[in-house]
Amino acid sequence: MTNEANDNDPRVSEAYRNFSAESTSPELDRKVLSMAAADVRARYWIPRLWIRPIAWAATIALSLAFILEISRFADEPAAQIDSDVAEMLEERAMADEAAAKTKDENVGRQRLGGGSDAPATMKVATPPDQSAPAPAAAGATAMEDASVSLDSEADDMSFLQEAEEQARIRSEPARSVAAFAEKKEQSSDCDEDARASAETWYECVNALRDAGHTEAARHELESLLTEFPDFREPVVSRQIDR
Amino acid sequence: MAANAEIVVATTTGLCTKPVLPYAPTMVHTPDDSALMLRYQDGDVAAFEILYRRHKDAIYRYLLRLCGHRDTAEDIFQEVWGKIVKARASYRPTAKFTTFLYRVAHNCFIDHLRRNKRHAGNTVLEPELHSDSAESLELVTERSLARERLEVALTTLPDEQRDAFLLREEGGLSVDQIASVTGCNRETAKSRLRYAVTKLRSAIDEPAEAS
Repeated sequence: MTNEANDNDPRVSEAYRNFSAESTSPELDRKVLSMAAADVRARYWIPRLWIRPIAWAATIALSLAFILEISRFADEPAAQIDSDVAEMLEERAMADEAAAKTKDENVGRQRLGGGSDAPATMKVATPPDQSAPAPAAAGATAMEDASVSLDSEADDMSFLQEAEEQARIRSEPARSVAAFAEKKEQSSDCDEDARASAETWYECVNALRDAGHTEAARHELESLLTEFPDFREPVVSRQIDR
Repeated sequence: MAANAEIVVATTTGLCTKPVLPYAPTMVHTPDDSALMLRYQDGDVAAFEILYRRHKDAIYRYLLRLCGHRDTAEDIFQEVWGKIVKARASYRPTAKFTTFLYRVAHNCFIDHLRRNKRHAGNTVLEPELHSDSAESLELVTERSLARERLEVALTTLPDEQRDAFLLREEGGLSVDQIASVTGCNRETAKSRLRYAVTKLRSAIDEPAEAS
């Protein structure tokens, strides 16, 4: 007989099976199954006890957050617009500053005289009756170029001035409006027609003096001398001015 | 009946191999047992009920044969399943569920022995387990007599040998699994099982040899 037969004898197993047929009582089964079910209920009930309060708390918290967000959103557009306007004004002010610097530099160059290109071109661009004799074909071409550059520079200057004025108006509404009006008034004292020649411009300056706008007259006179360096102011007027 | 039904189900679904012992087919549904335990771990009480009905009778008989007292067996039985229920959260299907279940039952019985010194020696059958045996000896057949002798012989086996035999017969455990459950090495388990089977076979064959 092998070891396996010694370990497992079918006759012994059959005999044991014949008398071993006991089973658990229904009462015992019920106890065990109810114990298992109770354990599952207990473990799942503990979290469930917290579900309702947590759900309520979450609902309230979300509602409050929603209300706060709505109220904040209602206040936000005005503030947002204010901040946007402030940003735009700031940007414009910076652009105006840059434009003013550029303008100052150009004016400085113009005042420096013939050393720079701009006065030369301006001289060339003056009307034929006041400038040099009639040029040749090459001279005419150079004159056209100079005229174009003068026009573009004048456009740039006027554009910069306009930008500066508009920026001032936007950044300082009340003050800039008054200043712009004053400036406009001053600049309109001597219009383009008056500035066409040195004599008419000087007459305009005198008119301003007579009207009591001494500052404007002085400003116009400086501009006149800048534009027409060869112009000689009459002695009487100079004395009066001083 | 339930065991036969499970055989049919297991055969048709192909989830298990042919059982080693025809009367202990439930012990070979190890994958299903683990799956059921995992389902119970997730709170499926119905899975536990299936698992329980699959193993309850074998465990009960195992404990009844070990301790010899129906009430004690029922107490230990409840304790065993209580531990299974408690261990569901930490259960991992690293070993066969039957090995896990019979290890728990074995340990519960050992704890019971330690708590009750009266079970330190060989257990004795209660009258209800072998009642009427004396008065019906002349009426029963030789087969019935063999069963009676086997039953008596089983009670006279040493605890370790009886334990190994019951683990084999009721749980359908292999020698390795018996060694794992009882905490001994394979050779010891095999030796215990061999001695138990030899003694029981001798008890069965005794009258025939005597005649």
